[in-house]
Amino acid sequence: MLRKILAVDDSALIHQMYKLFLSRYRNCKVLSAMNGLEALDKLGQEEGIDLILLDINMPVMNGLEFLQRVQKEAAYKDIPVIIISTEGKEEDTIRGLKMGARGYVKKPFQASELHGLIEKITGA
Amino acid sequence: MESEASAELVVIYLEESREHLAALDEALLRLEREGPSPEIAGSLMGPLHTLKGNSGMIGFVAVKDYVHRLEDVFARAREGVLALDAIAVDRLLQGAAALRVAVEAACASGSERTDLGPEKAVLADLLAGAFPAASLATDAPRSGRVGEGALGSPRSATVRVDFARLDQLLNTVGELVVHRTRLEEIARNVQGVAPAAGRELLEAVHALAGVSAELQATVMDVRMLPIRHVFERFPRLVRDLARGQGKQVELVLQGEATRVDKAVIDELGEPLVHLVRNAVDHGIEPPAVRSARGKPATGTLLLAAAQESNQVVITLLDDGGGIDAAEIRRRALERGLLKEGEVLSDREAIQFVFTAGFSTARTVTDVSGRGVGLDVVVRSVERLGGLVEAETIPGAGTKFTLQLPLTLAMITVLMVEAGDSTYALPFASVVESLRYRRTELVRMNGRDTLRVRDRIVPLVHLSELAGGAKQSAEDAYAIVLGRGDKRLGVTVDRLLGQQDVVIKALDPLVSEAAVAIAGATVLSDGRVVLILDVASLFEGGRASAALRARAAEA
Repeated sequence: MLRKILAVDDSALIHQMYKLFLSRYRNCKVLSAMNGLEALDKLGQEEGIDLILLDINMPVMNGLEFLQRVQKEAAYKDIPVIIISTEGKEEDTIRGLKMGARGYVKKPFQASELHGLIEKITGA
Repeated sequence: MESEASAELVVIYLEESREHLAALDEALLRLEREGPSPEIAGSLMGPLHTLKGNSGMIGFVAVKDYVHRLEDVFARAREGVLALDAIAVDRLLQGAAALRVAVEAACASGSERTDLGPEKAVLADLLAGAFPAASLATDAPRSGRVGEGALGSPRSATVRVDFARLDQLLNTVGELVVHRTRLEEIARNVQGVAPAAGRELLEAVHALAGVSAELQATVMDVRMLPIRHVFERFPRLVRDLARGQGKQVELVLQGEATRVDKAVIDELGEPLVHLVRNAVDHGIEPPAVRSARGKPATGTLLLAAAQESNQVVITLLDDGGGIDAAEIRRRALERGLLKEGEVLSDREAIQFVFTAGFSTARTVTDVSGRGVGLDVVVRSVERLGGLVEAETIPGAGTKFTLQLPLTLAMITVLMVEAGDSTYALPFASVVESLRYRRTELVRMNGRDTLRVRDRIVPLVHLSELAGGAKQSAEDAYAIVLGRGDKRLGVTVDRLLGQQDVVIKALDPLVSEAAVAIAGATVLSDGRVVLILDVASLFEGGRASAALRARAAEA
């Protein structure tokens, strides 16, 4: 069962959509971070994060840099990461997958696409 | 998706999109001024990418596709493959305007109203003309941090809250303050009976007072936004207006970080647009005229904001031809606004530009002169409880100064008593208050007046206005109110002192009828006190109906 999902995106719209899309996972807390740096803070503060949804293109610290740091930390490197990609940034998605991300969806995506991927990756 | 949920999403989408579109406009204007720059083009990659992603998620496909091509254009420009010359930037500005219209229209109606076909074709031309397909495969190194700085400072963790909820919160906090004051009174009474218990209670109330004051300050602060939200539309407006009239105008913005209540921000746009249009249209001269007058061909428009105590002062300064006071006097005479032989200083004369329908413009352009005059500015500014003034130096330029309250939620008032009721007068409009004897009153043109130094000030007796008995006290107080150069005295029985109060919205039924009532506030004993509207008092007597209704109720 999913308890905590960390959503990383620089758009408030996307965070609001995650809230709607992820509401089917009852009792699961969705944590929001506006960039990679904030996401690292959240990882430090919160225990038991089961999944990270990661946008690539963000100010301050982008998704790939965040991913690189996460992969170096023993405590975090096993948390599955799903890359949220956007048309035109395919090469970044491929780099992210090579760095250890477990899967990706491309904006615009439907709730069902995200659910399917989460199920495949976490078994939830 | 649920229709309600999607409406909420559209609101968030629109708000974010406006930020990204403002970044686009700003970058294009910089490119126009500074010439091709990979750095400026690069600064757009972040905002455009997010705008594209969001547009796709919300289902606005035409916007998403257009922004996707726009990204391509700026990506090539950043790589130096595509040079954005003046013509290209001009077409991109037109495209950006169409994009803004498309986004606003789609958000207003819930679905897209245009496919942006012609605009997309322009981008395709731009991309195709600049480089043949063969050279498309550029593999420039990509910096992972291109988005940084595009939106100014890095974004922190923020929550978007409906403004109505903040209003509600402030209202509740206002009530808390009222109850706190009431508690303090009770504690004092208790102290008289049981000193030890009273003291303890009073200490607890003081602690509560500290917390509620802090809470109030925090809530007020949360409602504040930088005035940049109003200013950011003007570079584009000025550019378009100037181009349309063959003028050269440079707009300089200052004090964009000045923080003002969102309710003020929302109302400020319209009057400022009028003043800016007026300045470009009637103020700044065409380049040839400027050169002939020995001025630089490019005119300068300065739009500045600054906080001065609990007010924000906005200045719009142009270095144009100024207002011709003699011409204004002539027009005012012609229209019967001024009597033959009446003497008016230049400064007084130019205030006529704020009179309804008054214009000295000889030609009607498509910008100003549509019969919408600067009187609209006065009305908007007064609705906000502010003042507007004009100053001019013929040949050198004109300065408009707007003084506005920092917030509409709270106001400093002078509490007064007239008849058996208590009223509040906005302190910002109080010029002075003085004690007078009944015998000092002079009857002129059917109304009481009072001589205050060298001026004759007409009086309004507040208790009579409210339908109460004629003021009987031998001596009373006159509060002299100012509105521009005009003065009006309001007579009251007693002055109760100055106080900061939270304005409570009146019941719509009451406020519609109560032209002279700006709002109400609640005192510590639960009594509701009306805050008088100074503008209506000057316009005379319109207060009476509402006040009488209230007096009848009491």
